[in-house]
Amino acid sequence: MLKRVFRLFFDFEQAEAWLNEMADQGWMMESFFCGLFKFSKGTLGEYTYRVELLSYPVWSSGNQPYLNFVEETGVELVTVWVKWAIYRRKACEGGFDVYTDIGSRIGHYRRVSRFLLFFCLLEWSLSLLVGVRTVHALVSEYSETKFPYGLSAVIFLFGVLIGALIFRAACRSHKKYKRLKKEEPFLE
Amino acid sequence: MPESYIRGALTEATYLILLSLCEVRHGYGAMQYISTVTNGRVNLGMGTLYGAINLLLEKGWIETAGGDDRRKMYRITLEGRVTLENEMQRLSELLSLGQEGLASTENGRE
Repeated sequence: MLKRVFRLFFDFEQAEAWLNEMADQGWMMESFFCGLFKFSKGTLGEYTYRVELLSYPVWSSGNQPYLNFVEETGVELVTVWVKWAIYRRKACEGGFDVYTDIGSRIGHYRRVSRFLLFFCLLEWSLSLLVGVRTVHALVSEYSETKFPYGLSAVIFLFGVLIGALIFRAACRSHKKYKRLKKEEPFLE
Repeated sequence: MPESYIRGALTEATYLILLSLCEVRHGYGAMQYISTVTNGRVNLGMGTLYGAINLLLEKGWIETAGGDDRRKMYRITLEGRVTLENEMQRLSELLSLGQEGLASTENGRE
């Protein structure tokens, strides 16, 4: 029995919490593509899910030794999306975490906030291009009648919105990074 | 030139990983050993353990000891053993200080 849910997440911890909530209700995530999650029916709380931003781009082989290591510890790699890895492990085998010490948690939050900031700026740059093009079409001497102003405006606003949501997630991650960084000299 | 006062203390995770590799083990084996020996108090994250193992290899405190690409084995080196012993000495000093310090404050209160 399969269930498909479309949901956009910009915050990886929210995504992880949601995947574990679904697992508690008996729905186990099997695959992901562009916001579309596929779940299969299982027993309540059968799996624990974790989400991590990998260290290397998806096209490099840099992640492979780490992913081999992960597999060795009995954790299943469910999927990799862009640079995000989703893992799961049977709850009966015990809980698991990706990072348990402050140093590596700091590293992860920093990696996440930088990654998100890059995409936020990319999104806003593209939106800016669309916006500029639209304004140009509007104010040019021979005001283009065939230019799709409506669609262009929608794309521009959508891009700005998405960029803002990514930016908000980047800020959240950055805040957590700063908080842990403050504690680092004193706590583990 | 005055001696530097920089001292390196190990984190609990690093200490335990070095300890676990006094026997040849693979990564997961080290994880399980640490969990068992601390009665489940310390469960290392796989990302944490992977990072720590790479750092320890770089520092020459552990070395690879066979196994294949999918399942590398590791063991502590002589340098690693010295580091571990120094750390145990440091912890022992701290523990004694703590016991003496607390005992004297109790005496002071009486």
